[in-house]
Amino acid sequence: MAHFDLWFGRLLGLIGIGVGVIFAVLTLLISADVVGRNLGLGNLAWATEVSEYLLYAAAFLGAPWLLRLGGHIRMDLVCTTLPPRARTVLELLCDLLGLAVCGVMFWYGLAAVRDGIQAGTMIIKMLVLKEWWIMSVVPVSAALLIIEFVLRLSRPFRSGAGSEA
Amino acid sequence: MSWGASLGLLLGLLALFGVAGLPIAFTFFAVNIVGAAIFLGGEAGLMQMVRNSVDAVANFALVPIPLFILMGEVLFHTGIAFKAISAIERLIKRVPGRLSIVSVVGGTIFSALSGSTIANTALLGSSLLPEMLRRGYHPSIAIGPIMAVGGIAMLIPPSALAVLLGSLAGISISQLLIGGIVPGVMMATAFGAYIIGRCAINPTIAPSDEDGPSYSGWERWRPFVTDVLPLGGIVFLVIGSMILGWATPTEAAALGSLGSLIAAAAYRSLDRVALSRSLIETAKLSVMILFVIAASVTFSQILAFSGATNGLVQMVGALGSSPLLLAAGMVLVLLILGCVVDQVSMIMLTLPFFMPLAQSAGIDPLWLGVLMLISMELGLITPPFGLLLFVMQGVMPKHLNLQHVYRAAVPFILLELLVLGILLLSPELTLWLPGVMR
Repeated sequence: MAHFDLWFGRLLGLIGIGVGVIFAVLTLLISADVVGRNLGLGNLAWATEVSEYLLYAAAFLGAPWLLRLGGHIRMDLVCTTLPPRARTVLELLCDLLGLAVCGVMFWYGLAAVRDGIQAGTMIIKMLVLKEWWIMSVVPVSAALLIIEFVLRLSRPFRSGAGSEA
Repeated sequence: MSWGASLGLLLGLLALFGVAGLPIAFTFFAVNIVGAAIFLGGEAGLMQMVRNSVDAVANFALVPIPLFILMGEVLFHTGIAFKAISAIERLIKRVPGRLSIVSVVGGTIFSALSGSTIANTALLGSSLLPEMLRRGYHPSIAIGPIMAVGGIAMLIPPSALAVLLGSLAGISISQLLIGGIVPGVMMATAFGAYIIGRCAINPTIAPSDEDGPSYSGWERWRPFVTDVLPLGGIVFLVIGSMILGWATPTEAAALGSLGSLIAAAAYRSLDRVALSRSLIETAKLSVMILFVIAASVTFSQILAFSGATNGLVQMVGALGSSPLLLAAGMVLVLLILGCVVDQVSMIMLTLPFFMPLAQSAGIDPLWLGVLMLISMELGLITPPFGLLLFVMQGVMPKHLNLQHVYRAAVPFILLELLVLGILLLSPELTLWLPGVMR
């Protein structure tokens, strides 16, 4: 378990780097579009749409990484005033609730992907894409979140290695 | 279910999960799941929730959020911002509380280069604060200005939160960004006047520090010309291109962050470490904000669908209060929320009610948007949970504690309330500059 935790942490770390790279790509892509248009070199008609998908991918794939870092904003006013034991219990309850939420997201995300495949839904804008390609980011993100929540839940019962949060 | 019961259920669950310490984004998702099951027809509603959260963030108007943050992070991690601050320090001479004034001037300039209040506060806190304390500045006059001016980054474009507010409230993002300039400058002026006044009356809180090398003529101005003036190009890329109508806010943001990368390369400060740290810090803040957006959009839909929004709006409407009183009431709600809740959640919690209320009462949404930004800025430094209070605690020397930070914030909170009051009573102060670009 500890070994897997470590390995999963590295995977999430790579995803974090990927999200940073997405923001660098957004900078270059949109700048190229504006400069090109204003200099009369033509524009990248697909830039807007690709930017939107990249932003969405960054938000959803980055969420499990941020959970590992403890970076999601939360109100810890009650937690920090509790005695250690009660605090551990409350943290466990929160992680359980988080796990349940991601379970629902995973299930209905998967259902949306399945519907998209069955109905053959297409998104037709500048680019023509199958809807399920786009939707599938949600269950992937939810699955990573589920794994991270399970690891968080298991950490108090394990000693030492792999815990970063 | 009556609208009151729906409202109580949704807000009650939100408060319960939130206070228990579940991250805000997951809190919204959890309440949405309950709400979708009850009000949006079960399975279909849950499916809708998933699709909504995708549509919420796959939005070109939100792209400036990471890009504005990236600008500030690049200038911060490459050290360019530090050089700019020391260049400004060389210029400011013979004023009471000199280094505090430097932090206000430097912080205001950096506000025009960064969309992150955290980067702004961390920059000033790590560059000027140790120097002030070493020279015997009283903690209140050393810490206070840095936190206060840190918050100005939220008002003066580029501002990530203004983009968020504008896009969700349906207010023109470029006008909201431009509308923050005058209030931001008013605040900086008020802070400066207060510091000079207080240090002139009581010089012991800020001992004179002009014993170091004295520069004159070109030696004094050279760093300003080489390290600060060129950054004006970045400010122009962002603010100028929007005012002149050359670029949309998203495009201006891309140009601005490209500009800051080019500046960093030109100063030979853009190494691999600085670049990757900038990108990672940008990713953390941006994902945090974007994921809350993904989660909370459905929440406002459920509020509307359950009849809670309409019920509350009609009830407040029936009170027959004037637009001014109503706006003041909204500001009051935000000020109270700001003591305990972060800025993104403040927007998400109040917008579903505020915008319909403003519409029914005939309140100018742009004016309300700027008032909301200022109220949220106040929330950054109001005890006990203002975000910048903790950023400051993180960068300041260990012999100072949170009590020092709280006390130092008080005069600046009062000054910001004063500016807020003035803007509430005279909307034209806020509206004239955006009016120029209409």
